[in-house]
Amino acid sequence: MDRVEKSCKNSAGVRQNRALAVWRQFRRNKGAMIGLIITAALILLAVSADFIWDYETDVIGMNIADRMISPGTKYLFGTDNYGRDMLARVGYGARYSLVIGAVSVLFGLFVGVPIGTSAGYLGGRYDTIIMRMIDAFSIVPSILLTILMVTVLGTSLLNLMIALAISTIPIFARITRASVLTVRYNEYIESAKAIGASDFYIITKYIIPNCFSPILVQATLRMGTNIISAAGLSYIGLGVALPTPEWGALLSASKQFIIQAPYLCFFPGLAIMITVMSINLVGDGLRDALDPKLKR
Amino acid sequence: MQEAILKVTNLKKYFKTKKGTVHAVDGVSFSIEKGKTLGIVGESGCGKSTTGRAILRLVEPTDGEVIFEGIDVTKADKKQLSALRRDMQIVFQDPFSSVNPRMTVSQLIAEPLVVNKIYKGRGSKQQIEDRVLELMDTVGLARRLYNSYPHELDGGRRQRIGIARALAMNPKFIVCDEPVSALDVSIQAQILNLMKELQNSLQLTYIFITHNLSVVNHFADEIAVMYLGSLVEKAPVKELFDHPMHPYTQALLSAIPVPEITENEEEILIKGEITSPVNLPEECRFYSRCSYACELCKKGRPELQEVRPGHFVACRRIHDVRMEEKRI
Ligand SMILES: Nc1ncnc2c1ncn2[C@@H]1O[C@H](COP(=O)(O)OP(=O)(O)OP(=O)(O)O)[C@@H](O)[C@H]1O
Ligand code: SF4
Ligand SMILES: [Mg+2]
Repeated sequence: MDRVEKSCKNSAGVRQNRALAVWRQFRRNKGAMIGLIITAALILLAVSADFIWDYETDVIGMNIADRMISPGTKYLFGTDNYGRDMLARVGYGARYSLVIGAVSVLFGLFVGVPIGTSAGYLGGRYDTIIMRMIDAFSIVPSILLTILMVTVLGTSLLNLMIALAISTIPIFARITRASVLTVRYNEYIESAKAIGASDFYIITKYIIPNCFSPILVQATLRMGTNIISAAGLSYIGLGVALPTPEWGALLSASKQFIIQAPYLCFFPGLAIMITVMSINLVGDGLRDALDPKLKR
Repeated sequence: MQEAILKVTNLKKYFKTKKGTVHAVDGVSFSIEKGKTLGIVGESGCGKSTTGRAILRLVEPTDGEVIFEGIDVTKADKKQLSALRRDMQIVFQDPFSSVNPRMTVSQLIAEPLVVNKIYKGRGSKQQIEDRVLELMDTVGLARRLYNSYPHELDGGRRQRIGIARALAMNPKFIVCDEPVSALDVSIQAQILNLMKELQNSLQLTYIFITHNLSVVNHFADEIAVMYLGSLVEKAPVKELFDHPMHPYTQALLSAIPVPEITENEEEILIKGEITSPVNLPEECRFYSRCSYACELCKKGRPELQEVRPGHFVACRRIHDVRMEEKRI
């Protein structure tokens, strides 16, 4: 009996090939690559912050002798009104923004994706009710919703993440449902049903893989948005409180010195901008690389 | 007479839509003996596919009974249903949309075996591979296509994948939902021959759905003609072709191109459009298009009645229609 050559074409191989093709496409996009490198550097910074700076002394410890020093050779980013090194504070702050962005998005995914999948797959009245609720949620701008929730829950890092996550759920629910619907009524789903596949099998093997790309792209972009929202909320005092060096909080504390020491505002602001921009570049690059219609 | 393997009684499937309730299948009854083929013929949209799907419970029937080997499919629980799905299979209408484009030929054919956990434990991979190759041979797919993707194949080969999937669990009964209507004419005959051979070698029972009477001509044992969700005529093939009685069947038959040129066989054109199966009035469904229609036909829907042995017709004016037939 002649065996069939199956050198590298088993299913894992195929998936690998696809990932490779997406990566090749992604790599061609200069902006996306710059975004990816900066994002990776920021993640590295966030992870190793504790080895570079000591939180108690470098980050929140005061040093009245070195107050308000402009950026220079000793303090690259200058010091604030308590003599704290702004480089340490801004660098350490990367941790908060990234964690807030990642956790809120992951939580949003964790809840939103199952909601969207079940609504799209089951359809009917369940779908109608769920989506009406999601709609009602989305009428309120998500930043207002977040403010409302933080006000109710009280201000803390955890509550900020919860609030951001909850306002992210509708987005993921909606996008998942939409992509479920694009495959749901394909005849090949019915064909799987006919050979005895369970709903669970159909959802995991047929439906979710098809929704993967739009969800990944949206998750990346949403991370950027959530980081901005978090900074904004901290700025108006509804997020992380001082002396924690969250960038929004740093901005808020620095605004009274904007005339005499504009660098105090400049560096946290720049950090937020660069972070969000590079994450968005990655998201855009992913979208282009994953979209089969754009393939040349 | 042999016992029926499948008995469908008063099967109904209504779809609730924004425009109203679509009576896609509205009280269909028939039975099939083991090893036979029932052809279901009708225009596009008359509910043929829905009938097939409702029998397999790919859509939930609104009402009615489907008895397969003594078990009511419509009331089967999950476990029974998964057992039934091994015995009752379907080959789909469109070979382009009915195979998952992300899977290879071998994965597609292996899927029924994997899903139903036919082979377990060590060596199962090998067993599945052997079975897939065997199935590929059975349906005439070259082994070199083992790792191909559906988009690399033509419609005929794709349909062979669909047939192999249906055969994987050794079913007893297959709904063939217009398996060749999407294919080139040259390939149609190949697939039809394959299905005929498979029926003989595997003792399969078929429901063969088509909108083209000439396809089932030398395939089916019995033919049921469907119009707007219900059967209007049912008879053994030869009987139906020789003595079509329902005005709709007559019109359908006269629309088949006949090779020899005869002068008096003029085509009976069906007037008007097919009525949509939404909110139908309580009259003969064919009323608006029937050339025999009269006031009598507006009083309720005619039921199937046996007019000759094994030949059932649902028409109120059947005697007048037959009179006319004799005169010609
Ligand atoms: N899921 C659905 N929701 C609403 N209406 C439907 C649905 N499926 C089918 N229908 C309607 O039911 C009727 C019968 O459809 P069906 O697919 O059974 O026809 P068919 O005889 O197979 O036609 P074709 O030859 O085009 O395949 C049509 O009017 C169709 O629009
Ligand atoms: S019952 Fe009347 S309308 Fe209906 S098919 Fe017969 S003759 Fe035509
Ligand atoms: Mg159909």
